[in-house]
Amino acid sequence: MIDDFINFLSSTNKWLFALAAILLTLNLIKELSFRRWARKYYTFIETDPYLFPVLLLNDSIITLRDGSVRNIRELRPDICTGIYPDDRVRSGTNFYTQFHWEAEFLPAAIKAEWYSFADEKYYKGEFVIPPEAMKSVLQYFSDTSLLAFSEWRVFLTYVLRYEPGGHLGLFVKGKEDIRFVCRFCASSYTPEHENRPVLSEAQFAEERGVAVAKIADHFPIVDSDQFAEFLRYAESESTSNIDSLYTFCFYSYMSPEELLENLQDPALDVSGCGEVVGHLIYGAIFYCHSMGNIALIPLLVQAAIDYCEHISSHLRECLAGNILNSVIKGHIANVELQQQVFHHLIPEKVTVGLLAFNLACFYSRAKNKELVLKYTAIALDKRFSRRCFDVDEDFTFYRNDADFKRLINQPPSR
Amino acid sequence: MTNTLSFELSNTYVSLCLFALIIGLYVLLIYSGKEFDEGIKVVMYALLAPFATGLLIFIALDSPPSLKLFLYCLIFIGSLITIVALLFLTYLYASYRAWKH
Repeated sequence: MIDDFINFLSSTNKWLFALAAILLTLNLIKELSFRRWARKYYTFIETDPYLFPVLLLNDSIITLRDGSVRNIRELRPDICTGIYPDDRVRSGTNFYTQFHWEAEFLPAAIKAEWYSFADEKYYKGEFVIPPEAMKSVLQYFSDTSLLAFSEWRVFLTYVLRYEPGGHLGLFVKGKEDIRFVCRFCASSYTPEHENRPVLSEAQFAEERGVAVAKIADHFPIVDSDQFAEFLRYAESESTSNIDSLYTFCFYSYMSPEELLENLQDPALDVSGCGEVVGHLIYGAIFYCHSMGNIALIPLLVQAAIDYCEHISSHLRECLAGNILNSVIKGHIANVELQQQVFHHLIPEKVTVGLLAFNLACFYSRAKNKELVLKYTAIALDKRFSRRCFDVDEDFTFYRNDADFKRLINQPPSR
Repeated sequence: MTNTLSFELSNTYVSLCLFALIIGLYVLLIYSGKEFDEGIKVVMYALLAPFATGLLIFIALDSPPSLKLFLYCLIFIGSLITIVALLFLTYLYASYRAWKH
């Protein structure tokens, strides 16, 4: 029968059959040879366009490949200027790193140096990434990407988030998902030729606008229903780990007005995710302060006080430092609210340099020498820049005071 | 004579079925070709029209007169699309050369 069929076919059809067989074979080979470890992985680095703008002086991810140390990237001078540097957007596709799964690509460390506009401090550090944490995250992407990625190539982005208090968060972002890897704490330093950068309102507005437009597709702005849903998600039993909290935090990009509206929902339960809320409030206050939207600051401060029980002590201090800055600048006229800030957010023993510095500023204006000296000593102990004490107008009254001068000029204890 | 015509007609229908199968497999190869770069995919799609037109010419040579007109019409349309595709490929190549330098 087959012979009959072959005899029946014209020579043209025989050739067409052969061509069809070749194409079928090519399709089968392609499907059978699909192996996740043979795919090409591409990596980028970007800075989280969150509400904490920084001036990056240097950052790089250091990899260990074949036992040799090498940099994925050294931040180029032309992309150092922005407050939201993004390798992918600003330097095109020529700057990605390609690797194969079998190469056991594991970033080994991060080197970073930056100026935080929120803290008004310089930070730097070289941080070793825990191999297990990175491995498990990359494993997650290699497993899920079979479903999540429709392409042979997998694009992963290392997201660095520069947070207040000198913290640096590392995330890995896939096509539709983002995973928290680890968090580091950098040490502050005073550069030799300190020239404190100034973030102008116009620059902040422009860069933030660009950043928001850029991320709009990936980071939806959350409305109140979604916000409550996210919080429930974050505190649910199955996801009550730090990963989901920070993942949530990453996604919950919203304007101060939207945040306030969300936080004022009486049905909102934030237990278990106070850190997220704290970060959001911190960023919103800084944003309002930088953008001159001071009418919202007292409302945000009230929200911080309302939710302070859920916020960690370190973040409470960072928040207080930020809020005191607004108090000093006269953005919070309500004395009762000021008292509540002192009562709820400032601990007996201050451990954050920015808070100590701002407390010293506050008491300097109030001409309370004892407390000025106390908080100046703490700020200096926490390595807050001495130059700030020299140039800040708040200390004009004490600048010639012998005790104050002695404190400022004494060498660091360590 | 009638038998020969019937034989040619049947073979032409088989050819057209095979033509549809080949084009389907070709498109499937490109569509699910995860390992191909986007640029290669575009080129492969652009080559689809010349490839299909060539196959149709190949089939038309062996087809009975009753189907020839229909096939020639298809070849004519295919040729027009081929010209557009070749122009597009030329443009792509020129862009690639310009980008390369």
